[in-house]
Amino acid sequence: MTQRIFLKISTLFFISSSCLAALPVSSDKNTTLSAAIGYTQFPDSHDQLLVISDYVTDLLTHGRQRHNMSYNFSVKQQLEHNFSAVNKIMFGPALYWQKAQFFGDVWEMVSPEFFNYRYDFASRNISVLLESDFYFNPIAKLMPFVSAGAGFGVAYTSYNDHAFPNIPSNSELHWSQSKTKASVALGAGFSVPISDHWAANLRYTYLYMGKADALLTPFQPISIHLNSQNVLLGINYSL
Amino acid sequence: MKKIWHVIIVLLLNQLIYSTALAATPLVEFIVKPNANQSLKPQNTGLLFYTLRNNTSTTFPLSYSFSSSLATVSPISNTCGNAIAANSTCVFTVQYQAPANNLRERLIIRVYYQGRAPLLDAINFNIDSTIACVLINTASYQTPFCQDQYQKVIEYTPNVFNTSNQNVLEEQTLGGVVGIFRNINNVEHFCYVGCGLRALGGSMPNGDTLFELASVTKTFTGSILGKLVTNGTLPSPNLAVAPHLPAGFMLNPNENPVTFQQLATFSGGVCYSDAPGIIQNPGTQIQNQNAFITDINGLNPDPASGNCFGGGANSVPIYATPPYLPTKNFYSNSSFGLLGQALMTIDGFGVLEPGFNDWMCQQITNVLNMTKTNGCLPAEAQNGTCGASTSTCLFTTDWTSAEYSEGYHITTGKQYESGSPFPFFPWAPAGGIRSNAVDMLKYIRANLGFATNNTQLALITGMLFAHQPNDYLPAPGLPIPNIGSQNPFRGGQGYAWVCMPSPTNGDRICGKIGGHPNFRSFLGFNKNQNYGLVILFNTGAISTNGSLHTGSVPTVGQIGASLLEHVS
Repeated sequence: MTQRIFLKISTLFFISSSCLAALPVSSDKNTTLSAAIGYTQFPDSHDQLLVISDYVTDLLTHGRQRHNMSYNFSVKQQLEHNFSAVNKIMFGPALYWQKAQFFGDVWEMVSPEFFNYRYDFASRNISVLLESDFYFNPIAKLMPFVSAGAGFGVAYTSYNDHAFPNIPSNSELHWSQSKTKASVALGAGFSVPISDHWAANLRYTYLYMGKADALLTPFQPISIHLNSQNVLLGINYSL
Repeated sequence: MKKIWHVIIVLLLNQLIYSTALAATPLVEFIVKPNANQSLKPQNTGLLFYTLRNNTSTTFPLSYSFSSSLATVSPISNTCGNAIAANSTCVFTVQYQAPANNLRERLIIRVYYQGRAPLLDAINFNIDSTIACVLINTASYQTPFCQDQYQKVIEYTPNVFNTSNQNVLEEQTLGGVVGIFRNINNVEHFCYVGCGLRALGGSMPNGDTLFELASVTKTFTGSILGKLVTNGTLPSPNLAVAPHLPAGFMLNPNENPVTFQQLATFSGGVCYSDAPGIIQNPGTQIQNQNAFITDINGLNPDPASGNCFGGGANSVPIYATPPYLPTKNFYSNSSFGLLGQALMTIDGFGVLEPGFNDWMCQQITNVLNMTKTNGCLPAEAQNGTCGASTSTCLFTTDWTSAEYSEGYHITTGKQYESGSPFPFFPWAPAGGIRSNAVDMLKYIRANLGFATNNTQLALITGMLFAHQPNDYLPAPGLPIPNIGSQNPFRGGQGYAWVCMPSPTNGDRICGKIGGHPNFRSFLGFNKNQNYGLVILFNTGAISTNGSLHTGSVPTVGQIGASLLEHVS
């Protein structure tokens, strides 16, 4: 298991590094620290069947997303390059913290007559990527950029349902598990210089993590999709 | 306007979700569970009854597990088996076999039905050799009702039974029997709980063991009065008794108007309980009857006449102006004795022991098939010398084999001392009957209005009449209610009965306490629950009605009230 994770991580770093290796760049020692906060949208939840036994199957329905703040931190080094269309290239590690959370109704026996629980299905995701930002020449004061990165993420997935009054609490399901996933990020945005050291930026990032399965019973798993669209507002500080 | 509509829609949706949440329905659930705390004597068996309901249209398989090897699935009344059908209920029974030693154990019961989790229940068992009571294995004992009632008897009789014969406290008893009846959806349950010892060194009493009823006898006499009124033999309970008294009575002019109703509600100017002439100088039945006549003839409710005949305070007229009757409720055996003698005379019976027995047979015991109940002394009943007519009393043969409990009182050395059987007195209609739990449940069943045949209906109608509260009558203006007390019962005075709304739940509960030097008793019923009980103890107490009781041991009346108030 550990070997597989190591292999996966190595592969992702290799892909990320290869993107840059193809470019004629070198470091100029300009380092930028970034922090951003923003809004994340995960794919809508669909009804899912939760098989309890040969006799009882529950339906997870009326799923709704609870939006949580997402965070991004990065430390990037400016690289020298020879491309006239590109103003600068920043490269370095980036960390994304997100929480995918869905809640909805549980109908035992797939029947609204037995609407006996509410569920909360969530995944807290931390992704560590090697990410490159390609800044283009400024338009007015706006400096547009595109970014790409790859790395790995850890999805800490949990499922909890809560019984209504008159339903025994020992029948509630509580489950959690963490799993390492490959992560790939693609994005674009623009930066606005504020002073010599400070700049503000707004970026859109599509973060691919696939989905996480939850095997609550010995039968079929239920899933939560982790691919996300993120709009992040942040600040950069250049050393 | 648009925002207001949004708010309204959100509120409606919230309400819909909330109401749905309240309506949560388990797939399978326990709808009836036993009490979570169960007590048993070592080596006794307890039954736990669970009613399961399947709310779905799917039949589920069932399996069970217990945390203790002492518990097993019992076939008794078990209708669940290995499956519960769609949209149905079934009963699942657990048998718990108490070990030989004391034990406290928490039994976890799991019922698996293929749902998310098994149905779960926990029962705390207390196996204790000091528990004095056993649910007797007769009648309906293998029912949830009797199993539950057995637990309640244990719960409400803490420290009541002392079989050690050491440091015996007031209100404790060597032994006793509790008989409980209930009609649940036209199914009748009869439960008997035996406690302690029938006699020192003896065995446990059972439903057949005879005890002195003492003042519970008054309800018999009151029932007969009710019957004679409701069947028209007596046009009114407010008629004077004087014309119906046996030879020798010559009431004082101020006492002469005393009515049947006044005597039955302790408001007839009888200012002593036991007739003082007999207490001071007891003799033969005829001598005692003559002394009783003398004592009754000496009653004068006029406060200006001085003290009560034989000493003590005179009765207190309720209304300011003559006649001096009715008088303030004063509990009196002689009041019921006089009433009984008038009723026996109306029914054509003599007032001594043979007549009293024949009268009770004809009016009560024959009608209700009470085979062991009579007014004889134990030895007389067994050898047939109490004078009861075998042609009138249908069950005299059964009396010969009856088993009597020994009776005890507590000495100053805090030990039991056996006492003589209570003799026949002229106020036998107030306390002269001996009976057992089996017969008394037939009696309380009738008091709840349940008839086995048409001949019982007239008596039952009279019984129901006897339960009714009374005013002080005749009243010059607006009548004043006559409030009786049978601690802890306090309420409208019936014919011996005192009824009141239950302080716990408002049910109408009625009770009557009995106390002799060597026996105590309680008879009561909860009309709303079709529930009745009798408690028979073989040890007397100084404060038989509990009114002076301040100790830690509950009185017989308090035990009865607790059971009547916590039926469900």
